[in-house]
Amino acid sequence: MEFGYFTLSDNHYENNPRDANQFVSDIAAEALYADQLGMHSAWIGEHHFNSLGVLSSPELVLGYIAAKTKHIRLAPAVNVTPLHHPIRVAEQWATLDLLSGGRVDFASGRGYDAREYAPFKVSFAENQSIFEEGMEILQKLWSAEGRRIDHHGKHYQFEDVRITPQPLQKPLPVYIGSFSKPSIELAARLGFGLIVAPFAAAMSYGGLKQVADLYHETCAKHGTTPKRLMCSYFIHYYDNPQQEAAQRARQIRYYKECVIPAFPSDPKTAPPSYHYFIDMVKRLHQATPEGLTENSVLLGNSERITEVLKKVEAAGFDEVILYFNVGIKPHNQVKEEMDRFMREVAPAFQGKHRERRAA
Amino acid sequence: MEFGYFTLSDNHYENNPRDANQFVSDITAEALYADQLGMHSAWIGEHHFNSLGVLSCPDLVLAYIAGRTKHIRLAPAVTVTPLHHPIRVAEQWATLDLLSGGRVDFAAGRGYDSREYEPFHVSFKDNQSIFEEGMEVIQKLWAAEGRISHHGMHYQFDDVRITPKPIQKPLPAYIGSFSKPSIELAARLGYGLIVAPFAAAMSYGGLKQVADLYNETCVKHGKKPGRLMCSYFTHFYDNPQQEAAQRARQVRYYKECVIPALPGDPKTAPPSYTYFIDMVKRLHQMQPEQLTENSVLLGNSQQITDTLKKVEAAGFSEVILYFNVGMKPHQMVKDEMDRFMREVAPHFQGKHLQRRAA
Repeated sequence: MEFGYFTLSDNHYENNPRDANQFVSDIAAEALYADQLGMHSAWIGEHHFNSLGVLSSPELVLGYIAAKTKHIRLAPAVNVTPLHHPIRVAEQWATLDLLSGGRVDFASGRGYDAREYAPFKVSFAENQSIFEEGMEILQKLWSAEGRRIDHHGKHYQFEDVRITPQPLQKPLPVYIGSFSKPSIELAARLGFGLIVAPFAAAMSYGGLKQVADLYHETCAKHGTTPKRLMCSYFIHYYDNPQQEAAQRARQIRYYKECVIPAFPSDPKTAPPSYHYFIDMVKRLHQATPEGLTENSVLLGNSERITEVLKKVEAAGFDEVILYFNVGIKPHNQVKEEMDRFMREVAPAFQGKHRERRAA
Repeated sequence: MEFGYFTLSDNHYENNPRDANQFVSDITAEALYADQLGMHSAWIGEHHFNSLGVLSCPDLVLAYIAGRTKHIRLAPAVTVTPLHHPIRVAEQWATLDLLSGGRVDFAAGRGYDSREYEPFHVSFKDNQSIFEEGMEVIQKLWAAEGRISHHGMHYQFDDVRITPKPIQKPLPAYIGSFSKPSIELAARLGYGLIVAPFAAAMSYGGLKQVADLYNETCVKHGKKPGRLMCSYFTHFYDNPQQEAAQRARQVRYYKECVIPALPGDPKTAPPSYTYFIDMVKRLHQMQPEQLTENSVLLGNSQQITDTLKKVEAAGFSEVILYFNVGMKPHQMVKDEMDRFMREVAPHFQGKHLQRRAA
């Protein structure tokens, strides 16, 4: 199993002394450190307007990281595709794939925060359909092999378009960030991999194994080959009760101050395709520090964390991306936890990290 | 005077063996080489769909260059702002400014090629007004300490604050100008100006006239004039065979890349582009032996220095040099860049003197 560095650049906290620029700089430094530690990938989220997070242009942060590294794979976590013209998205990630020597893992989702849609004048209510059409366009543009293509859809229409440059990888690996069934359908239909949050997987499907099974069945139904399965995890080390309390409190602050305000929660205004979020928000409101479980968070020492990850591996997952820097955890503590993870947990798993760290 | 590396990634040539990926990689390598040579800046153009050029994301190429360099300034040449949401443009160049430690020189224009507008569903004929409003939005977003709202003709939003923010206060911005309305816009917003000598000669009579008009217009708007920059094609030659090859390259560029990109048909050109019709006519008639310092630096280092001394005297602070034009081979481009920095640049004051001494 491979391990990646993951962040949504959460910074929406009361009395937060860390400004957006400082946090974006910290994240860039942590992703570079992840490469030094032999981690497989850097997954950088996209958020706008200091909503949940503050890093608005993962493609540029990853372009910068590409120049300073040779190994780490470069991924958005995720690209909120409906906010952008799909031609532009196709151009950008093809360019990054070229510059990085073929190190892009592209990932995409429709987001969950209406506050990020309104200023761009993109319909939040219709974003499932905008998202699906956009993903079809990305696939067509990336696989066109120099041919010019036309598209006449509901949301996008164009003729005679060939993007330049073209991705180096053929095909460019693509993942759909999935909280719900329609996105598993989409990933299976287009032959894309899947990336899930264990919390959402537990709520929507009953667990990670159930997600894996459903994905494989759906791929079989569409006649496509299943691709890689990935999941994210919050991760907090502790060795004593004081540390445990502090780490659990961070996670709860993240849910209450960053996530709840970002999610659709009002039955009167939530679009139909987001109704399942209403229940999620209710549960997040009730979340307590002592109620946090391996359904969403890796907590404890390396032994406990390894045990949970062994179950994730057994469920058929190929990569776990780790969200260390959550809830204003200090930058240095994040780096220490990353280092500890790669020294004490990663070696218990097969993966490219073994050769990287042996080298 | 400072000197920069400049490209529009021209690759629209018949029987062209160089594919888009190869050229984008060459350009990246040349910009990194420009930094090594002590050049001041890398100006990377934006073109879509293999129209005039093939490099669609200067922001990404420059982010990559930022990660490999400490000195060179990073600039789009130019961002075709109407093709993108101005909030997005503001976010991206602020992010690059942060990552690079404050090395962005932002530049914007409305472009000239309707083939790049159509797929994005942006109106080519309304683009002057879209451009002006977009530039105002970008300026507001970069300067704002808090959240701002905007209710214009083309863009409307409430309660927006971009993150991250630029670290330069203010972020230097330039307008790419072929015509009077853009000089007005630059002066009104307090931005610098970047012009092509060919267009300056046609629209205003020369570089000195552009400088005078810009300075007057700034006074009229009560703004302090920003920096003035111009671009130049550059071709070294030392003998008649080389001269013929270099002049032929430049004419191929005009005929195969530029003419198909510019609005040349009076029946379809929008009113704000009618001055291009005459430009296209002149380009059609262009012969290799007619190329002059109105558009191209040609010859040996002495001849090139003489022309640039006049540009400096006209009040320009920086010249950005287009070496890799007309499929000039990558190695030859690097040789010419090196020769320029050894034989021409030392005749001018500029940061390159310290960079090369270090």
